[in-house]
Amino acid sequence: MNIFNKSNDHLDEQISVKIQNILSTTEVKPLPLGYEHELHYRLAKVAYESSQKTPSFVFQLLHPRLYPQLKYAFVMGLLFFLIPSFLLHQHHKNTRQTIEYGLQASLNLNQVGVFKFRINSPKKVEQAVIKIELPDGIKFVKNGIVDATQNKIEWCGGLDEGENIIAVYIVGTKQGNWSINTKMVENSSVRKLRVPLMVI
Amino acid sequence: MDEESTLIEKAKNGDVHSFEKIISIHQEKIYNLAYRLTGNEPDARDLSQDVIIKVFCSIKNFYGKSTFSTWLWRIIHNTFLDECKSKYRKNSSITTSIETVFNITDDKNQPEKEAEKSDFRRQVKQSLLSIPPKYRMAVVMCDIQGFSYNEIADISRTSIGTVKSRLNRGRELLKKIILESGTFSETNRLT
Repeated sequence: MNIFNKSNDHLDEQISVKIQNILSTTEVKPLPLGYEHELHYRLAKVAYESSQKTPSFVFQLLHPRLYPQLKYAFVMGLLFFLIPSFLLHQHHKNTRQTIEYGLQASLNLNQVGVFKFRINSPKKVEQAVIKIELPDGIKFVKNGIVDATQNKIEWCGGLDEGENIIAVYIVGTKQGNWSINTKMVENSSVRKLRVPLMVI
Repeated sequence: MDEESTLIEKAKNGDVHSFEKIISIHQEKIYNLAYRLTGNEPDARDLSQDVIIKVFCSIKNFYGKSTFSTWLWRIIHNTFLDECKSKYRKNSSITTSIETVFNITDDKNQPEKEAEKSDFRRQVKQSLLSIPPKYRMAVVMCDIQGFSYNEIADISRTSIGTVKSRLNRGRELLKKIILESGTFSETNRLT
């Protein structure tokens, strides 16, 4: 038994030495033919491709190791900023009161025209005041007759939700370039509008 | 600034020629390591070139905390280990190399012995491919390529004790596989 064990140990040792010899005398394999050319081509290709990819100026300032993480943080931040801004803008647009006027650019002398005042109100307004002040060359027309005594008109009343139109008849009495001044007072807000009109 | 540092700086800016100059002294060793790990020329060619390209792409991340050589071999070590692990897991068949030319010994007048030695050498190579990658890597780096324990520990970021243990385990496994295959004949014992 003892002899058998000794023989096994001897065999183990022999194998170990032999393996060690073989490993340590393994010859160095030369590079295969065309290896360096192939590698050069691949490296040049990679270098060219990476030179084409130029990150934006902001990202160039960032540390290369931080870049992948910050890229997502930047995009997320942008989304968090853009989405609320867009929603806020939409909300503001919907709640804003708009005033438009409808009037042709010129009137012939003694021709009657209609001055339309269009107010788009997002909600019902109990009390609003609209003042229209006419210049010398333009007069109001009431029941088909020119009212030469009055150059101001004041309208008081409520506004419905949506579109409200106030129409005033006017006539050009003197030739020239004139402008109609309007003023709308609603609660504490005052909005002024100047409308140009030419009487030919 | 020494020449290596200058070349590294140029390589960081995408200069292929500078990179080729730096890598040229390691190229053959990288190819040989790949060859001993894969066991065949086409795979070794692809693997070694892939890892060199990987080094080229990562050179911007070299900050000089360790020597360039250690940093380079660390990438090579990790890449090769990952590659071998995936192939080892898949249990893919290993292509036998057609290269059978070995060192010529003194037994020129004994062709039978020479043939048996050559067979045994081939058997060692084949058995090496059967042992788990982390042990194979240690055996190839230390016993074939001549890296010191310190260098391997530095490259693999492990302790010298771990390196020695992997090396011993690798050698034991190699021996076990060879014994089980029965290649170690009486003739071999006598030589």
